[in-house]
Amino acid sequence: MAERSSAHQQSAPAASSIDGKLAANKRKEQIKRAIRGYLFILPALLFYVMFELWPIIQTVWYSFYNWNGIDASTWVGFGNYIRVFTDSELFSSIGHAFYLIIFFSIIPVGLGLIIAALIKDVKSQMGKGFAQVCLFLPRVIPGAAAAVAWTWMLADNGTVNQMLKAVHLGGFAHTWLGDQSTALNAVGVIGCWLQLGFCIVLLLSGIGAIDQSLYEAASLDGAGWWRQLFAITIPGLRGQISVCFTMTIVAALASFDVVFMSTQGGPGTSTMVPGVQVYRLAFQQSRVGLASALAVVLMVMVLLVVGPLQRLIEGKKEA
Amino acid sequence: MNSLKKVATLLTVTAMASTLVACGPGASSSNANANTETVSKDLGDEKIELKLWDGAGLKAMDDALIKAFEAKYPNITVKATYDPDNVSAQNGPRVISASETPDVARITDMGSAVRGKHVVDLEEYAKLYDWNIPDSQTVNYRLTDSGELGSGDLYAVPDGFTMTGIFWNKKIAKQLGITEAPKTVAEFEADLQKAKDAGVQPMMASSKDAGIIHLIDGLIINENGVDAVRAWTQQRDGATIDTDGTAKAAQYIADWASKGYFPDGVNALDSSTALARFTKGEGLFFPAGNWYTSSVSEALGEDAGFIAVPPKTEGEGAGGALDGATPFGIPTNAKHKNAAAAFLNFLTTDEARQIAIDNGYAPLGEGEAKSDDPVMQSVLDTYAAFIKGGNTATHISNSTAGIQANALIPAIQELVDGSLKPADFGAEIQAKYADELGK
Repeated sequence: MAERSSAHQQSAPAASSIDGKLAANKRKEQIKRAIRGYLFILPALLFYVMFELWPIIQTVWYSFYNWNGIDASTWVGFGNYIRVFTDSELFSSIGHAFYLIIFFSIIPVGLGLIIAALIKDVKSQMGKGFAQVCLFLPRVIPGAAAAVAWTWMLADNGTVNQMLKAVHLGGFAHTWLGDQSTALNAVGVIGCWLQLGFCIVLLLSGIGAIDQSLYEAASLDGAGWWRQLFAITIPGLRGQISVCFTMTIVAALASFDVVFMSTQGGPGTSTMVPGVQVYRLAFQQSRVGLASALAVVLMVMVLLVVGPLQRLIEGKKEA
Repeated sequence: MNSLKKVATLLTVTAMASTLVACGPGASSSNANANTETVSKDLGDEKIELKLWDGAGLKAMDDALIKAFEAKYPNITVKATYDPDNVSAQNGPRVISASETPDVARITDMGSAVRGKHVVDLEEYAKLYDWNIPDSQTVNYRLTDSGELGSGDLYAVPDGFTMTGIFWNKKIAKQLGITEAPKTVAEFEADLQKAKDAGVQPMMASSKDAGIIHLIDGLIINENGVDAVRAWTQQRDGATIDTDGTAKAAQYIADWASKGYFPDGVNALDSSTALARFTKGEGLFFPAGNWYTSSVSEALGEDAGFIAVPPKTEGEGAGGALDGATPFGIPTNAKHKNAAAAFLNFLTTDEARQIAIDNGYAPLGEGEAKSDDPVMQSVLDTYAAFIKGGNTATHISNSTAGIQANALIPAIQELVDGSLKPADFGAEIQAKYADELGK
C-alpha cells in the first residue's frame, strides 16, 4: 500500500504538485469562506451564548447548591432534584402545567383549524381581513395585561357573570378565579383566548398555500365541508399544525404571566404552575438552588414533550 | 430523545465540574468596598451626596424627611431611588449587598442582612447621638452576635410605624344602631351579625393577597399571647405557631366566612379593590393597616375610624402587628456612613415624628402625637394603646421572606373556602416556616 502510493507520487511529480497547489488554494479559499461565514454569525452567536447558553449553564450549576442568591452557598448534590420530585406541592404544580395544555394547545389548535377553514370560505376580501384582525388581536396584547382584564371580567360582578344573569343563567354565576374548583379552568380560558389568534393566523397562511384545485376536485367528487377539512386541509397543514402545537405547548408548560397576574397560584395552590413557583422560590424565598432545579426540570419536561411531537409530525411527512 | 441526552450530559458534566472546582455560586467577598470611616458627628463642610433607597409607596414621607434633613445639613444632598413596593422585598437583599450600595437603605430582611454582614452595627452611633428609643420599637431591629432577632445590637432605625387593625364605617354603624366600637371579639361578632341581618356587607376584605392576614394577625396574638408570637416571628429555636390558640384564631376566620361576613368571591378580591369598595361605603368593617389611613380619611372623613382587633375580654390589651414603615439601615459598602447616621439621627427628632404623623404613620419614640385628621387621630389612639398594652409583634407575614406568599395567603384562602380545617391551619403554616428556615 505504502509502496504503491509512493510509486504513484514519483510517476507524476509535476502534475501532483499542480494538483496539490490547486487543492491547497481551494482549501485556503474554503477556510477563508468558512471564517467569513462564522464572522457573520459571530455577533448573534455571542449574544446567544451570553444571554441563552450561559444562563442555562449557570442555572444547572446553581441547582446543585443551597444558595440564597447572595451569600456563600453549600453543595447539596442532587438534593434539590429529589425535593422537586418528592414535594407534593412542587410536583402538583407540574401537573397543573400539563392540564393547561388542554386549554393552551388542544382547544386553540382544534378550534383554530375550524375557524381558519371557515374564514377560507369567506368570499369578501374585507370580511376576511376583518375576521383575521379581530381574531389575531388577542395575540398583540401582552399576557399580563390580558390576565388583568380577564380578572375583572371573571370577577364576582364582572362581565361574565352579568352576561349569565342577562340570559337568566344567574344560577351559574360564580367567582371563577376565586374558587379552587374553577380557578384552573378559568386561567385556562384566558390562555385559550390568547393562543387562539396565533393558531388561526398561522393556519390561514398555510391554507393559502394549499392548491385550490384540490378543493374544487373534492367538491366535484361530492366531498362535503368536513370531508374536505379532514382530507385536504389538515394533511396540507401538517407543518403549521406542528408549529402551533410546539409553540402553544411551550406556552402552557412555561406559563407565568397569565397565572401570576390573575391568581398568583391561588386559591390555595390550585393554579400553581412551575413558572410562578420558580419565581417565588428564587425571589421571594431566596432559595435559588431549589428554584434552579425546578427550572431545569421544567426545561427537560418541555424538551421531552416537544421533541417527540416534532419527530412524530416530521416523521409522518417523510412517509 | 437526543436533546434529553444532551441535557443529561450537561447536568452530569456541570455537576462533576462544580464538585471538582468545589466552588459554589456567591463568593463571600462582597464587602470588599467597605471603607472604614471613624464614627463621628462631624460631617465637615465638603459637599456630600447621600444615596437613599426605599419602597415607592413611602416616597411622599421620604421626600418630606429629606427636605427637612437637607435644610439642617446644607452641605448634604440626598438622592433617593425607589423600587415598586411589590418588588422591593425581593430587590432589597441585592441592593444592600452590591458593591455600589446606597448609604441609607430600607432593610427588607433583617436576619439575612446582619448574618451576611451587609449592614453596619449602629451601637456606636446610638451612643454617640444618645438615641433614646423604647425597646418595643427597636426589638425587631436588634440581633445578637449569633444572629438571633429580638435583642442585642441595633442595626436599623425605623422612620415611623405601620400597624394592623380594623377600619370601621361609623355612619353605617349608626344606621344599624351601633353607637361605639366593639370592645371584645364577642361584641365584634354581634355587630357583624347585625349588619348581616340588615342586609349590609358586614366586612369588606380581600384574600387574593394579604388582606385577611391583617385580621388574623391580631387574633393570633390575642389567642396565643404576645410572647409566643414574638418568639415565632423572631425565628427563635423551638418557637411554633401550631398551637390551640392559632386553631382558635383560625376558627374565627372560618366561622366568619361560613356565616357570610366576608364579601362574595373574597378569594379573588385584592386589597386595592377592597379599599375602593370600602371607601365607596360598602362594608361596616375593613380589616387592614394604617397605610390606608389617608385614602380612608379622604373618602369617608369623620365617618371612619380605626380600632385594634378586639381582645377576648374587655380591658385586655388588644393585639396587633406593629412594624417599622421603613427600617433604615446603613449598608456595609456605604460611602458616607457618618452622614447616613446623621440621617438616622434626624429620624428621632420631633420634626421627623410630625412628618411621620402627617403621612399617616405612627411616630418613632415616645411623647405626644396629635393629628387634625379624625381618622389619623383614631390611628394614633390605637397606637398609644398598643404601646401601653405592649401586645404587639411584627407582622406574621414578615416572619420569613416567603411565608406570606408561600404559606399564609394559600392557607387563608383554604380556610375561607372550607378546604382547610381550622385545627390544621397552624400545622400548615409551621411546616412551611420550618422548611424555609431549615429548622
